[in-house]
Amino acid sequence: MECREARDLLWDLYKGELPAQVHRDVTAHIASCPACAREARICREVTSALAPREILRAPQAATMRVMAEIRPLAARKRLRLRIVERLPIIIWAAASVVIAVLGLQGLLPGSRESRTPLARVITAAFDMMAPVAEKAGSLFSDAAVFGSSLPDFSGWLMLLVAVTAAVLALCALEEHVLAKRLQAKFSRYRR
Amino acid sequence: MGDWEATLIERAAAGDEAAFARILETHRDMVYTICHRTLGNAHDAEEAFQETFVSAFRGLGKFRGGSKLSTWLYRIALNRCRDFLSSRQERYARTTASLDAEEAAGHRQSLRAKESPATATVHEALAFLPEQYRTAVNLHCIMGYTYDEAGDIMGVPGGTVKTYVHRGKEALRDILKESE
Repeated sequence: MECREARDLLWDLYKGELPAQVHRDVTAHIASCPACAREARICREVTSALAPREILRAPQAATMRVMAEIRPLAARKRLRLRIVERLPIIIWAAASVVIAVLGLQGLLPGSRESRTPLARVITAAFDMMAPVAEKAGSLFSDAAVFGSSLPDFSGWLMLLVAVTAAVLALCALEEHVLAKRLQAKFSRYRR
Repeated sequence: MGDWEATLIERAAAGDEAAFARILETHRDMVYTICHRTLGNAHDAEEAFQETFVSAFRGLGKFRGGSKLSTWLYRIALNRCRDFLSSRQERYARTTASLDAEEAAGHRQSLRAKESPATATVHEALAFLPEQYRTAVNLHCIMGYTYDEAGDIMGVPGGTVKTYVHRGKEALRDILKESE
């Protein structure tokens, strides 16, 4: 066996992964070649030093420092989650308040002309329905009376939408509170 | 990943400290071992250990369960160790040679307490290997992971880990030959 071939097989020799005949050939070569014997000794030392070792114990102080550091992070996560859970209710409630305010604004006498630009933008869709209502109103005998209240039509419609949104928000809130109560009740039984 | 582990992760991601404490307790020793073997001293290992778990807590929401939690944690540990090495490269390159004399002596003593001189020399020589070879040797040879498991942790194929281990051992042989 050549030196180069023997040195290439040294790692497998000390891992015990050589076939019997090859093992004998390599061992015989090492015994007769001082240079390869030196290489073999170093390979043996490296293999032995890299044998599996015990797992180290993490210092308790380091573990406690980790928990101290994550405490405020955990509190922030919990707060963020609470806000996200309640977000649909918050949005419904805010939207109903906004629409109610704008709707009430539309109901005030002469309010159409004095509406803020924002209110005009929001009530534009409702205002477009006014000509349709006017046509429908002309079919009735007191169409004039009906027609005179048309400037307030969009205001009434928005108020109706606001009330509906508020009712939906209250339903969602009640469902959320009820769900929490049920969860608490059943978790007691689970324990 | 078991159901109980998935539940723990979900609760910890929602800010449950007790759930995270369970995760920490389960994996802390192995993470610390990886940090210690990669960085070579207890002080740096503790800092990297701390940063690993804090990063893991921040990133729990993004953990999708594609790999085992342990593999994910060990990968974070290796990345933290890598950051440590690149930012404190000078200090690490010195290892025991440039720590102050007392600390160096203490470090050598702790290394050699249960080891032969040859073993201690090999472990000191590990510090001079390129980072990926050293990590591969630590994970496969010393900690006993298979090539594929070590590859999962390092984010490379198992065959690449095998190459790294072989080249790492060759490099150690060359270092020891030169030092004789």
